[in-house]
Order: sequence, then C-alpha cells, then structure tokens
Amino acid sequence: MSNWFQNLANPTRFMALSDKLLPTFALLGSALLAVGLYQSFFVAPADYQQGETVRIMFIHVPAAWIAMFCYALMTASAIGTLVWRHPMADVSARAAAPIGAVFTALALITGSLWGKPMWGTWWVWDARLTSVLVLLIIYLGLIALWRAFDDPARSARPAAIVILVGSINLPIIKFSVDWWNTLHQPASVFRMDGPTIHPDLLWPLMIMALAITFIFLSLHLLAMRNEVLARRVRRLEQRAAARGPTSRSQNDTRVHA
Amino acid sequence: MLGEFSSFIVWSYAIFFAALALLAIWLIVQNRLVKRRLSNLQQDQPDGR
Repeated sequence: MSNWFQNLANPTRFMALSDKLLPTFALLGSALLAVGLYQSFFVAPADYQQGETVRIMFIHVPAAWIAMFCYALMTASAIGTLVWRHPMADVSARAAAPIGAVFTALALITGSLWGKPMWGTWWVWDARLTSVLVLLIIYLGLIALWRAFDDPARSARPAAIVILVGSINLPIIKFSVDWWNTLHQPASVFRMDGPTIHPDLLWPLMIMALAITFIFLSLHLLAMRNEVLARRVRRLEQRAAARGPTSRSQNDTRVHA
Repeated sequence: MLGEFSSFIVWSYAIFFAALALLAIWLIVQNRLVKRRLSNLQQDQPDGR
C-alpha cells in the first residue's frame, strides 16, 4: 500500500494511471446515474407523508454526502502534505476544493427547495443547515487562500493547516442533528441501529449516491490532471523567464536563419 | 406523476444537473487550454522539453 502511494508521488505515473481510471469512472458514473434516475422516478414510490417531493432526496442526500466526503479527502491530503510531503497531496486538495464547494452549494440549494414545501420555509438557522453553510465558507476561503499565492509550493503548508482546522466541522455537521434540537431530520441511513428508510426508497438512494461518487471521482481526477499540467506550464514559464530576452532573441534568430 | 410540488422537484434536478454539467465543461475547457499552453511552451524550449 505504501509502495502504491510512493509510486503516485511521481506526477508522470499519476498521469498515466489517471488516464486509464478517468474514462472508467466517468462511464461507471454515467451508467449508474441512468439506472439511479430510472429507479428514482419510475420505481421508488411516493412517500406517505411527503408525497412526490421525497424524490428531491435522491440528489440532495448524495450531494451532501459528497460535500463531506470531499472535505474528508482534502483532510487526508492535508495530512499527506504536512506529514509525508507527498507531492500529489497538495495537488489533490487544491483540485478538490472547487468541486467540494459546488456539491456543498448544491446540497444547500436542493435542501432549500425541499424545505420550502415540507417545512414552509426556504431557510432556517438550525445547526445542520448552518454547519453546512460554514463548510461552504471554508471551501471558498481555501480557494481564496490558494489564489493569494503565486507559487503553489508556498501555499501548500498554510492551506493544509487551514484544512485540518476546518475538519473539526465534519463531526459537527454529522452529529448536529443529535447534539441540538434541529428542524432538519436526524440521520436515517448511517445509524448504529441500521437505516430507518424503507428499502424501496433506500435502494434508489444508494444507486444515486454511488453514481454521484463516481462522477465526483472523475471530476476530481480531471481537476488533478489540470493542476499537474498547470504546474508544468509554470515551471517552463519560469525557465523561459530565467533564460531572459537575450537567449530568446538568439533562439528567434536561429529559427528565422 | 410529479404531483402538486412538481416545480420544486423540477428546479432541484435542473439546478443539480446544470451545475454538474457546467463544472465538467469548465474542467474540460481548462484541460484543453493548459495542454495547448504546455505544447506551445515545449516547442519554445531550446532542448525541446
């Protein structure tokens, strides 16, 4: 396992591996999404209380799970940066942040669209909703932090520290519905005593969650590849700048001669 | 089939898939641009690397 991680420290090896994994994940994600959408709309029954509106759950819940999973992935990457100085760890964290921000925003928006007909309000400052909003703010803050540095190597450590500090929000999100009296319902899938959702609704939810996980992994791999290539561009630009305009004009003369 | 709250369901799914599609398009365009920039820079290098 540690050998596998060491191999991935080489960006060229990562590019070769991700070149094979990316289309596989994208294909798996799309196929599962087609099955999941069919199950969500044509197989899953309407809820006895919520009626058809329960179908928002099939995108809202996976979006919220991925928002948290993405931050957990960034936390693991931050540990990789700080402890092992793994060269791909910062690339992974930096590539994941915008995707995590989009999934968090989607969880909030679809939650709001579910909340209005069910609770009678678009938004309420309860612990679950507020802690997810804090997660979005952390994602945006991290993106701003990375953009504030010209050199990605200099931003890796401060960003990793902020990610680790922000990870305290993950258990707060998960247990907010147990620790505080919230309008948001308590956990109904990942519980010690098993899921409380009927299997007719649980299966489509799990298929959609798996589909969206594969789509997230494809997007993350693509974003990581972009980051690796952007760093190569930066290195080449620095080399060209170091050669200076004199050598550049000599090159130009050689080409034109 | 969608019942009385159809607009909430339609908006949820529309926003969700539009955001995912935009994110994918943004990453693909970024990939094309960075590849083109890299290829131009590699051609400019005297040692071709």
